[in-house]
Amino acid sequence: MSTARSRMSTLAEADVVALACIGDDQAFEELVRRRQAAMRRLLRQLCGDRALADDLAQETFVRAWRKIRQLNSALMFGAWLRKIAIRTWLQYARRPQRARAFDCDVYELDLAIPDGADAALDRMDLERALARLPPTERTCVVLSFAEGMSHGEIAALTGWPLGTVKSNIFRGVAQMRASLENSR
Amino acid sequence: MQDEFDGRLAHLLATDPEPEDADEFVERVRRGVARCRRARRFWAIGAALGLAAAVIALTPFATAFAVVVAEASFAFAVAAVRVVFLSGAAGAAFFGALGLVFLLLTFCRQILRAEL
Repeated sequence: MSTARSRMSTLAEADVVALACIGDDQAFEELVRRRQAAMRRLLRQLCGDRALADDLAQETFVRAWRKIRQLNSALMFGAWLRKIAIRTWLQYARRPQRARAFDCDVYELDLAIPDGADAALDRMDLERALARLPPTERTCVVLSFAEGMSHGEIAALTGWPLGTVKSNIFRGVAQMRASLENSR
Repeated sequence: MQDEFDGRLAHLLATDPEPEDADEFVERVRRGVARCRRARRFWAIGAALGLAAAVIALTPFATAFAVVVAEASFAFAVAAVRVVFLSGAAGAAFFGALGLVFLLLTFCRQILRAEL
């Protein structure tokens, strides 16, 4: 078991993906191990809740396991997985009762901040401002700033018109700036 | 100002600390996949059983339908044969009667001619 794991960890990702596509469970587990941090971080930024992000990340990987045979190119695995993660989040956010901004008191409890660290305080303010955004704006802001995606890529991925993506980013950033200024 | 804020936002989002409990999460995904695999197997078995049950349930109806069709076909064939035979008999009777009439007329004519 551990020999197989160490063997997997030395392989290139394209090879691991190819093995996972033919039903190798160890290979899929290795892919989860390699990609889990990025996916959980992305989903945490999108939904603003650590536990919910882990639930969505788990759902993302299970969906990926179910559909991995449909993957056209092993080299596209990262982008494909990110697309599944974002769609999982958007599906979740479309449910009306859950698509609200998270309660900031609850959100504060979820953050681990070292004492006296300015960067951590900055991060806390930022995450709080991000959590106040509506899900559509938050999604556009995170994909644009954290993932470095272009407006066109975001539009293609979410299925929203390009103008909507641009205005979501503009409104989201303006709202975050106002929120950060108010908090100081 | 705008660029400074955007840069800070991008930097803070990009340097968000990574989650630490990787093994726990991998184990969680493994359980999720196992659950999904069980569900898939359950649905496959359920679909096979459902199909078998449907076949078993529908077999008597299918048999009954086939029998009705066969009986109807047989009855139709019998009726057709009967019609053919009856029409044949009717035809024979008609033409026979006609022949008899002609025969009778011819006979009467012979008698009348002989008397004249």
